[in-house]
Amino acid sequence: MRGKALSVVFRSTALRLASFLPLMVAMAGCAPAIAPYSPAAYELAVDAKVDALRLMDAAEFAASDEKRRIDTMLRDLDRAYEFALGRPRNEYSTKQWALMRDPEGNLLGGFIARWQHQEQLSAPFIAAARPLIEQAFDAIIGLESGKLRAVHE
Amino acid sequence: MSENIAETVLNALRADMPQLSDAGLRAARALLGSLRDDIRAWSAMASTGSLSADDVRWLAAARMDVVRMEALKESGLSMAHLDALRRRLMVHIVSSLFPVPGTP
Repeated sequence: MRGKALSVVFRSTALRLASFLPLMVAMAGCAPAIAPYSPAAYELAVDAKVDALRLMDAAEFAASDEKRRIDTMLRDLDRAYEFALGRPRNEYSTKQWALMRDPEGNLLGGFIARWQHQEQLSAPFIAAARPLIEQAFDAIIGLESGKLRAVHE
Repeated sequence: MSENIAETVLNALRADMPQLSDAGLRAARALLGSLRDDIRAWSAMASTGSLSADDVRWLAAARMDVVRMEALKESGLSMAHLDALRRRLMVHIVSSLFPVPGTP
């Protein structure tokens, strides 16, 4: 009697397992679509944003006088890009950093290149460019922090 | 921004970044809507001499880069939601296969 009951339980569990097995195997075999949240990546982006906005305020002055700060900022951008590039399945963030640091582009890398080329930038231009660069950094930060929210939603 | 120009820009964005998701393109379309207001404000500043024509061109291009950044963010987040959904589904499957006695 007991053996029969156990056999029924075993058979029903096996049946349930068999019905879900293909789905479980398929899901287990899928690598995550995107790199998980990284506190280090988040911190890099926040620090870079703060430093970038401060540096932009100095663009009213001669770029040659701010060479040290500019070099540090460019190095930080390179570091953030390389960090993003080195993480598997991190194409979206990598592309964001590539846009941000591109000296031929129109975000921070382009702003610094323009500053170095013109030696000084006007206050109205800086004021107009600042919120754009800020928004661009927020997009990088938002992608990283949004991964955490997606897990907890 | 007129619908035609917005479509042209979105098509260029799709060609430039084929990895963009629908969510990314929706974010880009929403941001393009406010581009006209920005260009109007910058043009007004240019007419008073506060900005040069080259400044306005640079800022408009920067605005487009911001659209790209937002589109990349939304595309990445849709992937993150997909991963979270997959994990939750796995947990539900396992808990329905092997229910813990005493839990609903």
